[in-house]
Amino acid sequence: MINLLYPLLTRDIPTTMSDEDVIKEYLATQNSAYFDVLYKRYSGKIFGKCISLLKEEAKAADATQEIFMKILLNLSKFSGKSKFSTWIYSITYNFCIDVIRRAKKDPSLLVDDIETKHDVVDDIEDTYLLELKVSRLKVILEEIPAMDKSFLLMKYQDDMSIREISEITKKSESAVKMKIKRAKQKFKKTYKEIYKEE
Amino acid sequence: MRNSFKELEKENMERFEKESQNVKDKIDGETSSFKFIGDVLDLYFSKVMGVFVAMSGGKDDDNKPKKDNSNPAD
Repeated sequence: MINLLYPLLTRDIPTTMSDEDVIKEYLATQNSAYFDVLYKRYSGKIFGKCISLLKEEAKAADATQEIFMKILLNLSKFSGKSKFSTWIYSITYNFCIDVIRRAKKDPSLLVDDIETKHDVVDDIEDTYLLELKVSRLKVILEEIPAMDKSFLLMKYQDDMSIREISEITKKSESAVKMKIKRAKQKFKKTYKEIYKEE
Repeated sequence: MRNSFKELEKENMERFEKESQNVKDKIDGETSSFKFIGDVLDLYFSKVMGVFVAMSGGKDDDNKPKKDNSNPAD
């Protein structure tokens, strides 16, 4: 009764409450204040991934809206086996890749598995990517194929383990390692093409 | 160590701030529509099912004679 008279506000929910507890409370009470907490925590990050992959702000905003609807409708299916962030990022990457695939804008998504496992790929130091100027990182990410971009974002932006990436992309761990190596290689090649003088 | 990917993420998040409330309003609008449809179905579905049951020759629970509880000895 008290809840009806004094509806719960987002500010009443402790900021230290874990995602899993927020979800449990949301599913038990259907109080939208709990969903608002999840929205505040993750909407910016989801939008960031969408804009990196879809390149246009309006498309990224629409995608963020649709992804949150998916999250909301499937929240009861979240089993807690993985981190909540991993689960929602998985929805985000799959959604964006699907949008690009449907628009057939990126041929790399159609020939993704043709590359052989046995090609030798030189390893590139992480610092090469991590210490780049943000303005340049943006330019290179705009140029490389969406699939390579998503592998780099999962590894360097979301700090996902190889195992987590393998679960999201439904590829073996060795395939994921190879994909990351290839993505780094394409990144370096693109960088050299654009910034020739350095 | 610096992480330019994290810096880019922060930049994109700041970019979203002006759009955030607009997206949230759209989500709230969509959830309200879902909730409304759910409530309507909840309210009328049992009645519609009752009509179907009655039409197919079954007995509608609503037409059942109510048990007379007036005699405490029963």
